[in-house]
Amino acid sequence: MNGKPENQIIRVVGVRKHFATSGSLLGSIFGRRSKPIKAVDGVDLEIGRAEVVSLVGESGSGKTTLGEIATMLLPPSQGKIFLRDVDITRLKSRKLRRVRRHFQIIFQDPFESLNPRMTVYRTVAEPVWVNEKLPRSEVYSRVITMLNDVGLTPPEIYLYRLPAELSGGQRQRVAIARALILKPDFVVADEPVSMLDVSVAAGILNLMLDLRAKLGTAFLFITHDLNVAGYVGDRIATMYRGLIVEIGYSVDVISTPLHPYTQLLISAIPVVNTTAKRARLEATIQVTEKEQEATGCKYQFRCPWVMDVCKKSEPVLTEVRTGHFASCFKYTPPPN
Amino acid sequence: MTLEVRDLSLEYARPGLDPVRALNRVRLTVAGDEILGLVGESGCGKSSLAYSILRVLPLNGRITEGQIIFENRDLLSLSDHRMRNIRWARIAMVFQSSMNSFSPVHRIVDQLAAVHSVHLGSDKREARRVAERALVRVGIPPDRVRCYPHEFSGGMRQRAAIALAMLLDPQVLIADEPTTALDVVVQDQILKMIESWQRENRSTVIFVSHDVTVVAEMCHRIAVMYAGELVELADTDLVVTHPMHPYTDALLKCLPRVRRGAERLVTLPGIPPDLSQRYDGCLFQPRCPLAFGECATTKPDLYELPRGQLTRCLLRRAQP
Repeated sequence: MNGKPENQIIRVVGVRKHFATSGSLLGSIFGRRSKPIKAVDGVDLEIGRAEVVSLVGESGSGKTTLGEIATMLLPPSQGKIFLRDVDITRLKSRKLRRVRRHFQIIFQDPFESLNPRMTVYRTVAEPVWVNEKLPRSEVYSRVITMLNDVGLTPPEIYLYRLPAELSGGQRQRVAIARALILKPDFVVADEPVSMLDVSVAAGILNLMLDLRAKLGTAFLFITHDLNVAGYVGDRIATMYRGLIVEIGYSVDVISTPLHPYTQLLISAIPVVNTTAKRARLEATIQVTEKEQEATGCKYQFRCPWVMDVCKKSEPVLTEVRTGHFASCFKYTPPPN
Repeated sequence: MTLEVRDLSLEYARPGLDPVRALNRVRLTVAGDEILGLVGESGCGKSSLAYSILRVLPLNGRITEGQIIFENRDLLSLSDHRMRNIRWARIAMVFQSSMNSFSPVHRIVDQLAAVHSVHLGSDKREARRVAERALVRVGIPPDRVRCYPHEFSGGMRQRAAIALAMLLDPQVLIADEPTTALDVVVQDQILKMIESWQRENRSTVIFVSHDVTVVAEMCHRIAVMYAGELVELADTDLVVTHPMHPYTDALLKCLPRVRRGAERLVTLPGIPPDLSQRYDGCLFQPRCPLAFGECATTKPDLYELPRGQLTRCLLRRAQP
């Protein structure tokens, strides 16, 4: 649908995730159904071999939920996820476990995502123990190679360290080694550098770019930092309240953002060059309950261009320029 | 001049181990009406410096030398009682995780009002009125000021924390990574808010951050710290366009920037030095791409350059 990458690895089709809310006591007494939270509300996305798609959006826009669905940590309420040509949402647990080795996730906080009582060796070797019956010496050499690849050199000195003995950047490298040791086809990286120092973060970003080139891994890179998104992403997708509202090649999205929300995000990036002051767009942020239930475009309450049609119907993602999609009535003829 | 830090050194004691020398003879003057950016990586001492100014160091922190002059008095020699009168009323701070520091069982407006009445002895109604106004000033909708912290989003709580710091219109506001956990749009609003507050009140803001882009945009001058030392201090334009210290240069080059295109990020090899050890030469020398023989043996001073920049690098030493 949105850009056809060659050698497509993962394809997310019409995925929705609604979380039930508990609602109020009074409401339940009077038999009122509480409204579900629509964290992801109809997303299509394809990622090709060795491609990095950056997913940006504010907190609460559904980025992380989409990442968790794409790796089947959360089952979607609706929709399908194809890994190569297999619909992984239809697999039963045992079969699913067998294909899980092909998709992995790297979490934001390397201080919490590693087991504090497992050595680096056990952490990185465990996926191999679970998924492949290999002689010890071979597991060992795989771990050594992987630690070399993620820049923990010489690997021998790290093998028997515990997470507490590593710096933040080193822990994130261990997490990356654990995610990539099975050479997965697809990796979701959920804000992998937002907890790290800038000089360390640069190393991790370069590392991920090198590894995707070496292993051909497809990445969904979740971040709230557009600078990072533009640096690592071949394409950028903008999410707003559960929907992808814009997707296109990073150069295009950054130089000519189409959707007003992407424009707002890009205008909010601080500029280092002090002679060129950026034009800041004004933003209103609060989403009220009334807005949650309104029909039409989800962005209408913050949009500077809002028209009548935006309040009546919801725009769909349409190709505005080659390979550059946006869902906004400014670019698409409104439905009759 | 509002605030002067004179040769401040600070150690953290560790049971059974050598103390960590978190600050080493830091010298810094902040003028009345300005925003000073304080940047560096974690562990470089920027938060320690902020805590020292407010005298809220952890119990194992000990200031070994130096003075902090504020309104002709050395804050370090004041009694606890007199410091309490200055803290928050004259020098206030937004902490890194301020948004999580509200009491969950009290309304936010009441928590602000309590600070007001403790410091100024105002009656309840007056304190409440001021607190409400402070919250509205940072963009909290008037019908939400009576909420509890959990009813606020992260961005709203952070704004409330800033309202709390600005409540008594302090002369100096220290903002320690006030936007780190927030997304770009909210971050942008908070930065704008701090800037306009500073302009209106002609006060001093010390803005601590690891993000050079944020600091570069809003600060008049930038101070760069490395391993407990000040390594560069100059006007923002100069720091950004002509960084004099190799560390500043590396910090600027390792940041991805959308508007710059796809050149590969430069990474800084190695890690900062262990501050419980003592070193002879320049602390940055093991990681420095420009290091030469003398760097390992001679400790660089803070040299002043023609355009007023201060930098701690032997390469910038005036030739005899």
